[in-house]
Amino acid sequence: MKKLIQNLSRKITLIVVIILNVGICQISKAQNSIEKETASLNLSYKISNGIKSIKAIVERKINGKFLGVENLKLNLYLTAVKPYDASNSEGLLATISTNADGEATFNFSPDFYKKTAKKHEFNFIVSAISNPLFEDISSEIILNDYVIDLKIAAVDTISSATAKISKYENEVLIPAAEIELKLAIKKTFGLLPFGEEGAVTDENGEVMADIPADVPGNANHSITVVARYVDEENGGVIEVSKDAPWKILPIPNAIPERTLWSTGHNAPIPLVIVTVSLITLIWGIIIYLVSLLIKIKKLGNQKKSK
Amino acid sequence: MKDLIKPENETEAIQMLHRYNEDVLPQKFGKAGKTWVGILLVIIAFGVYNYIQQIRFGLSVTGLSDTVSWGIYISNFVFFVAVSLVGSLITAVLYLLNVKWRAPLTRISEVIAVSAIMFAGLIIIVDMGRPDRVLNMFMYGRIQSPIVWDVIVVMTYMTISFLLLYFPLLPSIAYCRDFMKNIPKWQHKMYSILSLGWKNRPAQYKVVEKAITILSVMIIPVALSIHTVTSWLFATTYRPGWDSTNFGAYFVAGAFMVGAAAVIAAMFLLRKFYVRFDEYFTDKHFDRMGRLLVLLSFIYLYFTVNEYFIPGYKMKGEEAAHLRELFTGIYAPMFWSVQILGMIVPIIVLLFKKGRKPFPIFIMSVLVIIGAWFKRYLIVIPTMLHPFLPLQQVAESAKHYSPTMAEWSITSASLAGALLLITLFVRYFPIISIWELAEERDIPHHTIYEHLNDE
Repeated sequence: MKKLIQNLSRKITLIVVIILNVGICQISKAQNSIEKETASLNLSYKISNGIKSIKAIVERKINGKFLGVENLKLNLYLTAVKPYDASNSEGLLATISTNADGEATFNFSPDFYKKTAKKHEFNFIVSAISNPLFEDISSEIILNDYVIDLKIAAVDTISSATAKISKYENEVLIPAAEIELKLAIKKTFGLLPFGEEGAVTDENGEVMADIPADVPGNANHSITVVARYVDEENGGVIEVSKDAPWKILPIPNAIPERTLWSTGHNAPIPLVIVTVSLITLIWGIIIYLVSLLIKIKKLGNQKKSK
Repeated sequence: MKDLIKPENETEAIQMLHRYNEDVLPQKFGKAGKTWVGILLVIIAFGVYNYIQQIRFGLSVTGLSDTVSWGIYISNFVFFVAVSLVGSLITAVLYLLNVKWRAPLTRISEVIAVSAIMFAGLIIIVDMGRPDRVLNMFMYGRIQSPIVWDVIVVMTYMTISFLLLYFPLLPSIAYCRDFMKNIPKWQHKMYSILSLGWKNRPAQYKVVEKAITILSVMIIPVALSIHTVTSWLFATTYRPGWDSTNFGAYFVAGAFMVGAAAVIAAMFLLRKFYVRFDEYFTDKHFDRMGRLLVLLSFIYLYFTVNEYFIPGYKMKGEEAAHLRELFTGIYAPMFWSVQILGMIVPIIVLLFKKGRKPFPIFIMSVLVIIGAWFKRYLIVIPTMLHPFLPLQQVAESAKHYSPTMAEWSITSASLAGALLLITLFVRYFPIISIWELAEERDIPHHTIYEHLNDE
């Protein structure tokens, strides 16, 4: 019997040791197998009235949907991945983190414009490296320094806009022909295009179109005309805008301001008067009734008249 | 059944009033009472647990979706608002009409009204995924919105109902303070505080009577507003089934009907569990409440015919699809059960004198109450599933609605909570207003109470 118990306890000990070993192996295997997630990095550039910016979007796929990666540090380099070189403004220019939508926009300092005044083609590199959660990512974008000149002229009652786009070749600015340069009027929530659809620049790099006379301007008696070139090859937008005096005022809102569907501050006056009067009247009576409760208490405290 | 007689002299009147007060003094619960409270507490506890889950995980624990954003919580809210109208019916309307037999029913109807309106307010907050956002309504609410009107009117009605319960209760609380023996200290202290130093002085009665008259006049328009505004929550929305000008009156009529049924059910249960209550809730009271219920049911039937017959005659567009679903579709069994069992059968039974005896009228009242709850379900849910814009590119689950266990338990807890509130009131306060009863029987209660106090 004793032998049987000893034999059994040995076997149990052996089984426990095996189970523990397997468990430890599994845990260490799981720890080693923590893999970094992959994310995508997309870059685009914008030159608006000569001001350059680079926009980076970092996303990852979760359950078939692309979601922005928040708070990821991104480095912006010019020409090569190296420390910043003050002499030519190359190397590491800036480090910023992505926002909740996974977006980060790099803007440039006046010093950068000064030092790169003679440079007209830029090769930007954006990267995120040594992140504990994500694999290293990097992307490049080429920014060509196009120049757009926008002119607005008025003859009698007709106003027209002429935009000329030029590019640098061997340090010389030459007209860019056969380029789709769009003309539009800036509105509150977007651009209202005008002129011939799909119009391309002539040999002088110019497009011209009459501004629609019936377009209302803004309250300052002006309109903002925009000339825009979309660099589809490199993924960027170059645009120039210019204000022009305008006679047609904004169409006054046909809907009365105080309506049932306006904001709370613009409720119809009769409704406000009726509601406030009713609330005041009824709650006034309620307050009076509460005062009667106090009166009852006072009457109870009075000595009984004989 | 005994009918109360008028006293022949002051001594007899004093004895009679004293006995009345003793009869209605709150009593400790027996086995049945404790079991009842226990059951209610279990239901409430389960509901509270599920509500905590709802706060933790949001409305995803419910069957609500973008399509059906108003489910049984809102049906339940409308039901509570409807029941709460009984306070204005029994206390105010019958008071102003000088209907004397209403005296023993006033307090129970006010207690039902206060409990129902309190839980109506609570269930609205339950319907919100983020209850903390209720403050936004006060800070940023638009006065043009019927939801804002509803919140204002619910709070106003709750306050008025509470005052209408409290003013006539003062002499009763004072009686408990002065004559209830062998009660815990806290209970005596509660009576002392709540009685506001009531001494049965004629001047105090005068103030109470003045307050009751003001409240009775004021509560009627407010009561009509509360249910009319609740109906506007639906009627101001352009949806099949809700796009009706009849809704305000329809809701008010239905509310009076279910409110009257609730009072009858409460009368029956109190009479069953309290000795000598048959002297106060007599067969005559059941008979008269039965007549009232029939009248209210006929009015409701009239509005129901208007509500369904005219659109049913025209059968236009989306309205037709909605009506077909009610008349012959998926909701037909519920729809016809509600109409037949919750309205037609009670009308027929209560037309006969025998049908207005306590037990049959109790059964009919229960049918009316259950029918009224499901009627609110039928008002809210089928319409929510029939928006004018077709349901396209939505998940299959969003095209249907079936309440989850969490919703059922929270809804049940709210109903149990209202019943518990009524039960606790009955446990600690006299459920019949004896001084109002004395007035009904022309007993000069002012001087008699003075006498009792002097003793």
